[in-house]
Amino acid sequence: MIFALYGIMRASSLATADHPAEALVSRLGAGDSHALGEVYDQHHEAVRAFACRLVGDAAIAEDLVHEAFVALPRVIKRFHGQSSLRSFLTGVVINHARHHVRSASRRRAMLTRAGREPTPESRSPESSAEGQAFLAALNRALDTLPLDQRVAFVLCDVEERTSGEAAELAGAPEATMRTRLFHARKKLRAALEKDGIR
Amino acid sequence: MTDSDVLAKAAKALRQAHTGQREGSGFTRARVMNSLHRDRRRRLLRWAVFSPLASLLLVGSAWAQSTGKWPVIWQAVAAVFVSAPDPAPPPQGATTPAARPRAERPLPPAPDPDAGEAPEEPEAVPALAQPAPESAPPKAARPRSKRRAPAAQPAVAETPSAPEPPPEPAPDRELARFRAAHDLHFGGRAREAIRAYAEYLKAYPDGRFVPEARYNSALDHIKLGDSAAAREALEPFAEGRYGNYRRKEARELLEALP
Repeated sequence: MIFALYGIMRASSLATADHPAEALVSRLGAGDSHALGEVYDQHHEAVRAFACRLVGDAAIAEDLVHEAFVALPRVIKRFHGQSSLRSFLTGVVINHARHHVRSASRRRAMLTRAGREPTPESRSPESSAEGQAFLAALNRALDTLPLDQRVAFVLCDVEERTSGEAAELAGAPEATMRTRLFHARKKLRAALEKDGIR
Repeated sequence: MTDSDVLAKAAKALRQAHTGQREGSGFTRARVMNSLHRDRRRRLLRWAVFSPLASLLLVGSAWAQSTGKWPVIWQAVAAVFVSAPDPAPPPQGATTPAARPRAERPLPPAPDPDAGEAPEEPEAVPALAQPAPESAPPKAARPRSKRRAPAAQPAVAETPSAPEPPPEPAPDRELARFRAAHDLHFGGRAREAIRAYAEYLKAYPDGRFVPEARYNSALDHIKLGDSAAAREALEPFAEGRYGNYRRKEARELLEALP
């Protein structure tokens, strides 16, 4: 307890105007819950957006966001400032995504079987009226991908990150990330075609 | 529309569909903070419970060590956790030759001054090498099981006003005789030991200590350099007539004998 208080005080003393991000990270590492609140306020939208794009289900993405932020004080020791805190959080989301992607995929499959989601027919993504149906089909197509390829597609094509950045976030070599992206695009195209989207 | 256009549109659709803005974000923030506080409380509770327990254990151990009560406490703890029932001793004369020596194994070993002459293992009945007080019953004959206690209780119950000491067990002549030979064996008096063992074997051909007596007298023959007699005495052990008792040692000795 005393050590934690000392850590918070020390981290607070580092909180200069020049290095607010570093001070925030220091306070996080010292177990300051207010720092976590600040990090949440600064980054929750970006983290939620990535989680939603990856999982394809808003409710499950919310659970993933919660899990990532709860895990942050524990894993912040691994953050050495090479990338931004937001990128680090994206990496945390990727590490915690497996279970959530699987459960979202199962939920979608169950809803499809129950007839709650529209069955895709011949349609075009340009049509705004059919946007939701297109998204549903897209999510189903994404469900056919392994998690690594799904992450590669979301990071590189949806979030428009370079393969180098994506590789760093996913903790994989850049060449591997490019290969994953290649296979992801190929499978996704095939799955969309199978669903009648051209 | 080309294939790549479909993927580009898909990426764009995903990007636009999920911007990260949501009405429930405040609720998730509260959940995060709540989880954090709950984890912290759990950690504190763990400290609050385990730290006093650990300090108590540490201080108690230190106190017991310094006051010399550690063995008593250890025995008490062991009695609580290791409460295996003591097996009843087998009836005399009903044991097989192979099983008999095993029953004597818990006795402590005794030094053999001539151990260097022959490759011996600790003797099977080493407690007999220690001079035991005559009044104390030997370990082999002492009633070790709690099942025997009720047999003595009625006598105590009849005279509750004057508790009498438990009746002395009858003197074990066989054991006394074997002990005499055994003492000679461990005293380095091989010739006399051979004679004493022979007398014991003659008096108790089916006695409890026959294998030990034969094996020890074989060792005494080796000490005296009487290889033929030693060989004759060791061969039954090597052939497994006494089960696995001293079988390996007997074989090694037979191979080593000239």
